[in-house]
Amino acid sequence: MPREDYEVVIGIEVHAELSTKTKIFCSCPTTFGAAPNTQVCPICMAMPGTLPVLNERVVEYAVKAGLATNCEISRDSKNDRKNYFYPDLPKSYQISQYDKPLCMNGYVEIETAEGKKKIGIERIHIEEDTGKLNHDDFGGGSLLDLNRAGVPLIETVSRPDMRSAAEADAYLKKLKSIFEYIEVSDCKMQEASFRADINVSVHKPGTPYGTRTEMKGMDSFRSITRAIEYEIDRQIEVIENGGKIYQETLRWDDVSGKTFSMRDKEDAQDYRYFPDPDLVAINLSEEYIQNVKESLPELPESRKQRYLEEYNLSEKDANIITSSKYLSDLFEGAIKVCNNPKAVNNWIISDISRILNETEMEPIEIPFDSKQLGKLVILIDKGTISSSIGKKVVTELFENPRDPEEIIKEKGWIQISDEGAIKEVVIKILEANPQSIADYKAGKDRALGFLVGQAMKETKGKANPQMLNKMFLEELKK
Amino acid sequence: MLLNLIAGHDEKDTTSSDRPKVDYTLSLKNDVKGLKIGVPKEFYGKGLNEEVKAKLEEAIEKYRELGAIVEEVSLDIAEFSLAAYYIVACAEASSNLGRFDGIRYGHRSESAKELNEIFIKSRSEGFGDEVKRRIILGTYVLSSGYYDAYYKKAQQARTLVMNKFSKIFEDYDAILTPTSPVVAFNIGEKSNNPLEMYLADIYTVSVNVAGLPGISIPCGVDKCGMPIGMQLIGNKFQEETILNAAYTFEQAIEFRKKYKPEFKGGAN
Ligand SMILES: [Zn+2]
Repeated sequence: MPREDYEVVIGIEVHAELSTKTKIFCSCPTTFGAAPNTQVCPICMAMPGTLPVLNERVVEYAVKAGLATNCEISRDSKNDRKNYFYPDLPKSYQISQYDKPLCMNGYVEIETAEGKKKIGIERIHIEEDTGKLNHDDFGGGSLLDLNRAGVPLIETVSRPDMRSAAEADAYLKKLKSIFEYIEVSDCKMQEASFRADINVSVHKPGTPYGTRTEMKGMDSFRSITRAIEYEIDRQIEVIENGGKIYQETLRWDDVSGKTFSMRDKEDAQDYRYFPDPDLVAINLSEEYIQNVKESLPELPESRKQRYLEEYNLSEKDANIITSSKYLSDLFEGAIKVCNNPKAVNNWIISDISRILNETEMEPIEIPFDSKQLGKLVILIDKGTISSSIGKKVVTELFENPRDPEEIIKEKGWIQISDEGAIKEVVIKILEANPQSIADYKAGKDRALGFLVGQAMKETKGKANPQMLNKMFLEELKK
Repeated sequence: MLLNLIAGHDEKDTTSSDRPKVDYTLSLKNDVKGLKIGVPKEFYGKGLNEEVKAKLEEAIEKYRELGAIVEEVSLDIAEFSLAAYYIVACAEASSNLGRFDGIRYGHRSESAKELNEIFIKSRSEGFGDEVKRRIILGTYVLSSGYYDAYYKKAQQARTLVMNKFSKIFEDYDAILTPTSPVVAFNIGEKSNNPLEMYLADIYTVSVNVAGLPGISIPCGVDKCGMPIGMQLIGNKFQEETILNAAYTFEQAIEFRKKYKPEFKGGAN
């Protein structure tokens, strides 16, 4: 496939659910996972005659998001109605923002193979989420859950600045981490509180942009990368075979690894946007914006800089840790307990990251806290357990988080540092392996490693490795 | 009394004003001496029923007798107001009534088999002609390509109407107009001619369009005994001025004593 002949253009719209306690236009709670239709009221059920009241926190959070992504904040904004019929939209219109979004013209910086790159943000606006249709397993129809109706969202629209799936991935991860840092959204993708609509087109360099297709509601990084790669190949193949790309909405199917047409292109919706007459204009003062600016916490870029300087982390490690607020908080919290940044860094970069990857878990779901991680490091530093036992403790922390000291006591993993006990093991291993003794004496240093390994096996990893080493050397010299 | 109850800020309606409340019953002073009333000549021209016009002229004289200063002014906004009003009102109605889609609210068609049929059939069966007319009108004026020509222009017309009113209120305390060009029609009389029906609102919608207080009171009856209304319009939040003006007039003509409601029937 002549992929090198084409340039790829990707633009992304991200919907992030805001972590306000209450909904955008009423005071219903926004907690996820409640029984259907238990977090509703006449307003979010759209009862005739009810009026919306804008939640001020929503504006504050959106302004925070705008400031953290270098946007201009609009002093004069408003809410508009987006009219369309769908069962999950009880008012038959969604209150959103049309021509006067709260934030405009920002950017975020991502790392690419060619260095840093700015991805433009066209706008960030506030809107309400819709309800959710659940398939009814008994009646065969659909049941409507309005708990999510009226949950506040910010929609972040990027400029079509990304040129590959890797750049799209980096942009999404960056945006997600910023929203986590400023605590406007928990960005839990499996709860769809961070989801993306991806627009992809291809064209030959020097020619106008191609027609784009849109994949809606993508909520896993892995699928997003796969879907973009698939869609690029599909579009190029269609064009190479003399076909035409239609502007349409596609559905990505993770199982078959393909995109499918979802909506016909002919029913391009006319949303009949107009200013919501039930709500007043949103006018923000300079003072208000300044106050929000001052309330912004430290952003990932600044934390990364600090890790490089204060803790001497490598650029790569600092990037991984600051990519998520939760990892970064875990890192800083654990250091406060054990004062050993190097060790904490290693645990996060190696074992913790590996387990997150294998289990497809997000950092926010890490079940143990920074104190427990810090204590684990202390136990190793004091020689109470070896680092190979430490690995087992980390696994245990993921499965059943509790005080590491309790874990090792319960499991009998405390390191053997008693000289007599270690000597006993050393002698036993030497007696069983005369060949290794001969090898060592013949100058093969590797034999020592083998012997230590055997002793560790014998003690199920609990023997203090430094003491083992020392004692073997002493015995072998005899 | 009702106004006293509903006035003031409602925290559940952010479009309501947060001005301090006043007791409107205290504004009824039964005295209009020196009150400056403007009479827009455009409201007394073409289309106004002669009997209505005559009664309004009597009312103007009565105010002069009571010591008010009544002068002719120019306020050529009636037609804009009517057009702007129906565009905005229909646009809002088309959106507000969207929720009666047969899913949660409103009638659900028995014969609908799939989703779009639920929407289309339920709404076709459930709504009456006048409602449908307004939804279609409202949907049209909000459609992309027509929004600027209608809805946006209507909003601009509203600003224009507001400006013209505030110009007059620089010099006058109240504006006196007929309530309707004709007396009330019989039930069902105009259903076949909606435009004529909408035109009956021509004098009253301007207060809605401009966001001003207005009060309508009877100033006499026609030959069939149907009451004829006059309208007083006040500046923003000047309800007290027009309440007093209306009350003083009502006391002077002793409407309640002289005119017993008695329906004689027949067309006007
Ligand atoms: Zn609610």
